[in-house]
Amino acid sequence: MVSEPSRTGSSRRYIPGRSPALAVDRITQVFEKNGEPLVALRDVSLDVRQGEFLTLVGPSGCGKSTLLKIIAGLLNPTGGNVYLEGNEVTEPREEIGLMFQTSTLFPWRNVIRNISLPLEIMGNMEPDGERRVADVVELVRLEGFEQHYPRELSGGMQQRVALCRLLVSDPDLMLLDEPFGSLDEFTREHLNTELARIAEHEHKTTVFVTHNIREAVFLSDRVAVMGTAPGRILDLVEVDLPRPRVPGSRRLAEYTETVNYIREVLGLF
Amino acid sequence: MDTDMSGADTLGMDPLSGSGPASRFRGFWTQVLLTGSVVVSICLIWELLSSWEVITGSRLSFWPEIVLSKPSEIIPAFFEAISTGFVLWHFWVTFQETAIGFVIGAGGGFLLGTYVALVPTFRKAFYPVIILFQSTPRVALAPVFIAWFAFGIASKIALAATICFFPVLINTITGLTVIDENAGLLMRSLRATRWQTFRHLRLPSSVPTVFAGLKAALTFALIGAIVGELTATNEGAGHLIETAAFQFRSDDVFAYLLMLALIGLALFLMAAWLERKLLFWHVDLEEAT
Repeated sequence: MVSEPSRTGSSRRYIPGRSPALAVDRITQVFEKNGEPLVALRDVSLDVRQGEFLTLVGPSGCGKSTLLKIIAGLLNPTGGNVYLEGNEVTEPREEIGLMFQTSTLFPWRNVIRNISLPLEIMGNMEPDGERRVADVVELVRLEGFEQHYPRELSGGMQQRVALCRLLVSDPDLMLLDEPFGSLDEFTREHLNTELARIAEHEHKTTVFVTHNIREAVFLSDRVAVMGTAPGRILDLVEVDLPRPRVPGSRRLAEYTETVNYIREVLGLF
Repeated sequence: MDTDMSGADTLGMDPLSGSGPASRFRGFWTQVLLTGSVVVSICLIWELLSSWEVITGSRLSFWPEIVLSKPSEIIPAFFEAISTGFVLWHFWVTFQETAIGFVIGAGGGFLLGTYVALVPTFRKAFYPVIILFQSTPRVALAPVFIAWFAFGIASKIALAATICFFPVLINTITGLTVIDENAGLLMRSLRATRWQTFRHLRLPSSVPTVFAGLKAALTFALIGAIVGELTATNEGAGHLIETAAFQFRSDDVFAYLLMLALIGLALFLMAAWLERKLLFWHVDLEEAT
């Protein structure tokens, strides 16, 4: 069941039992658009627990992708701070891994060489880089596709490769920006199940961005529901679905209840 | 659940289906047949019109023999030309001018393009100047180069190099500068150095654009060499054509032109072959060639 307190808009900040792995502290982002200031995010605060899977869900324009870029250290916010394990994030860090809506695979590299790219860049290929690549290929179930080139793969398979590339450097924090947004519904559900399995196996702190409410509920421990103009967190919703998450999880009453609750918060009813 | 259905499906289905080895072979012969019939038809009509007065017994011809020969005379002239030592020597001169000019011009264009692309201040400063030069018809420089580098092979090389410098320069700048936004973010998030971003992202993703420039430059180099020879020289294919035209040897003129066309075609096919080898990963290749 969704716990009562988190259903009210006032309980915006989660009070963690353990120290947060990621702390987003009063982030404000103002862009300039045609000479007018545009508030993309206003005073967004969020604590993400160690090993937690948290999803930012909201309509386009709510600043969820912007928030993800700020967390990644790719964008300096107008105001506020981000802390990873207590250290302020001001630039990209090796402990933070990123995945996008487009697979962003390098078409001139085959699957294996795409996956090992982060290790090559970071200079971590030796001594056990190949072992690590083989491990993630097995975890994400890409065996047999190692020598293929991206253009020979479907969108779903390409995103699996991108997921491998994200996992291979063993980041402490994984940031996924609508990774399944351009896939069809069947592939998306299938990859959701796979991602849930992998997330439970790896137990990494994860921030996931989507505008698909069902996907958010299925994957997450908590869902941050965001609203527009200005971008802000409307509610933090605890998802009480048992783990492991399997396709059958979608049949549970808690699943439907949480989906409906989020729709209510977003004013979709 | 063990297999990603979408992935397996698409793999079984060749995205380029219909262009496998067997059908590519068939496609080649269809192409030869189609193009062949076009060429033969044009030659037949040409021959017919050239021989109008013979066929119809009329006194009027469409054009005099000394202006435009008929294919039945050009073809023997062509075979004679390619078996004549001094003709081949003249073409060899032209080929050298083209090749050396191409290497200097394209190489210089690529190097300067890389430099301009990677140094933002340079890009800002240089781009307008490059556009200005790009918009100047560079064959007009032929007399200037003759004055600078004299009568010999050097002035033709200079002209060929200058003409093929710009397409390579501009395409190199574009190819290295315009990269996928997310790929750029990915490299930043991995804390890649400038050199790593260049080596692993910018350089490989620029290859299709640079190649388009190189292919254009190859033809341009030949144009540059010929224009140089037409302006002033006593050697090279341009010189042969000019002399033959002055002497109203129309069959030889067209035989030489045919040789030049075949050289141009050979150069283009070489570039296309190399492109196929280097750009095996490029999705648009099928449409591009």
